[in-house]
Amino acid sequence: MNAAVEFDVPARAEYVGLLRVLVSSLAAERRDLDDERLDDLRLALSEACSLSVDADAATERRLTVACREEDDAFVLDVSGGGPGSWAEVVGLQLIRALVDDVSAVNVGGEDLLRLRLLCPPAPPYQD
Amino acid sequence: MELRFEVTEDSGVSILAVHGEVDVATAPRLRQELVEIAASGSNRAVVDLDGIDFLDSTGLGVLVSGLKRFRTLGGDLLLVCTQHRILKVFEITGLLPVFGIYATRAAAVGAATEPTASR
Repeated sequence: MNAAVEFDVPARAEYVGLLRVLVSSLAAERRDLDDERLDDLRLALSEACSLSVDADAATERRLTVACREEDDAFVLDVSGGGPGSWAEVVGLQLIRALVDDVSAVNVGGEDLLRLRLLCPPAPPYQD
Repeated sequence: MELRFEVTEDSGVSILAVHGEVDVATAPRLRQELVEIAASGSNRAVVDLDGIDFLDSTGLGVLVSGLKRFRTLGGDLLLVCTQHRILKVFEITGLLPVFGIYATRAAAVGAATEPTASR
């Protein structure tokens, strides 16, 4: 099994697009996901991150996305946040529809949103 | 993140073509474009989403508020979209029947200029 990977960025809106690129690239490399499932992952991740970003451009909060693999799933733990505004409630609705399981968990005193996407590992590379 | 707009007009309908990714970082710029179109005196607008690569709930919220704004003005806000991955966002959130969504700009402009277009 591949090592877990954690991305840590300022909790600001302009970093959400970067996280989409990084996490979806990692998922595409490690798991057997078609384009539509990767789109689902990008959107679900983006919604989860949007729940956590801060409108204050000077915020010192951090946004972390921890990615790990299970035998049958790609799992993301996204730090902080919770639904409040209309967009955030709809965002949670989207996440629930796009991934196979979503749950709020507390790990080491930190609240996380855990997204679980069922998918097998990527097949071994062959020439 | 790159988000580009082109504003044109056809038969008295403002057309806003959007290119790029609409998310929590860029959606405020889309909101500003719609506000400016409404402030210019136009009450009928078409937003062409076929050039976007990504749309999240923040972008949806901007489109919903734009729809309310134009209908309050006695007009309408119609969309052009043929991309499955974008339409899926409307479908999941139950917003497909709320918007008039068309496959081409011509069809959207045609609907916007019909007497029954105002809802």
